[in-house]
Amino acid sequence: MRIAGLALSLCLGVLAAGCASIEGFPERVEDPDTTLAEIRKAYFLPDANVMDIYNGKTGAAAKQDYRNEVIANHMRAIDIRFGQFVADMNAQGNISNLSLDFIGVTSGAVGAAVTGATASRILSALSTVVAGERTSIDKNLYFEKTLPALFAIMEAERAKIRLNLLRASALPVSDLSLTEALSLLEQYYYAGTLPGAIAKLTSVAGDERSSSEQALTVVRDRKFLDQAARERVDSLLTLVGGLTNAQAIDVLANPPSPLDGFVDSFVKARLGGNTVDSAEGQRRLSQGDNAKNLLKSVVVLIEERSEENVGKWTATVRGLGG
Amino acid sequence: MPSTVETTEKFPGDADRGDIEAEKKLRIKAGAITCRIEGGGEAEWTLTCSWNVLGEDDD
Repeated sequence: MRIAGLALSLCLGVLAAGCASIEGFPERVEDPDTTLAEIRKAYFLPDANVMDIYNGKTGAAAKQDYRNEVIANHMRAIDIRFGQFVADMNAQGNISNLSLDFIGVTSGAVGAAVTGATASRILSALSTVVAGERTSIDKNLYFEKTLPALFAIMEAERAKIRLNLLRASALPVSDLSLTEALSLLEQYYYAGTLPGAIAKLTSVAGDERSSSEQALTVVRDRKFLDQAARERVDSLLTLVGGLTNAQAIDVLANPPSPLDGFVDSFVKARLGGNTVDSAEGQRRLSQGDNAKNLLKSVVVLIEERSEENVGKWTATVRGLGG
Repeated sequence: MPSTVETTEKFPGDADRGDIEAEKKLRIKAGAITCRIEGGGEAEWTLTCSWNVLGEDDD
């Protein structure tokens, strides 16, 4: 009972700490709820049907003015709600959740110990407390560390859509109707939600994985390691260094002999999944010395290092002045 | 994080280490960011090099 009592005291202590939430936000000058009520009355159903008002406007200029008024006020309302959301998550996420989880686990365990009143049951219950507390701390630390990253994603996405909305405000209603503007506003709202941020994070991680984890493997035989062959390739490499980037593009676009499968895949991977003759591949090759750098890597990786094959490449490069 | 392409070339385990070292130098000269050699002896030699993806920095 004494041990159970000790656990209960500890539990109450953590609860007390949880009550002293740290908000980290200064008090607002205006009352956000009052502002929201005003905006809602003028621009949101059921008080205001903005589509009816918009359709009732005469002339494109009047419609555009009203559309922009709706955009600005809806953005303002979404921003206020987002600010409240951030403040709430900060206040609750850091301290209260940990306390509540801990209390939940602890009270169950203490209850079990008190009713049985044997030493073994009390010890067993306390071990549940410790294990539960650990899980609770892990879960909340994870939450605490992840939350700022998710908010950073939300802010970045919101800023992007905000810019789109501001640019869209300059468009005539023939190019951006109120319905389309409301759809953009919905995206703006969604960008400030946890599911929206997680969806963005998942999509970025997927893109990152596909673009950065490109591995290519090839098995070489002893012939490939022939010193004379390597010296031929080394000399060719030096010649490639004398080409201009534009000349290197020509060689890559019209290789003196077909590229083997490994090198062909390698070229595509270094061009970010684009082929040499594609528009994106050409754009990438034309930057700086990219084509020259790619050609250098190609000549050292080509499987066929025979005198004949390397000779073809050497003749081509020399012919261009390399 | 900049994107990279990794090439792994496997060579016979009884090849001279000097040859594998020379191949590594050739790839560094050709612009590889890093190259490392593993294996040898009973196991085959593995030469693993990283190359940058071209045209990503200016996006």
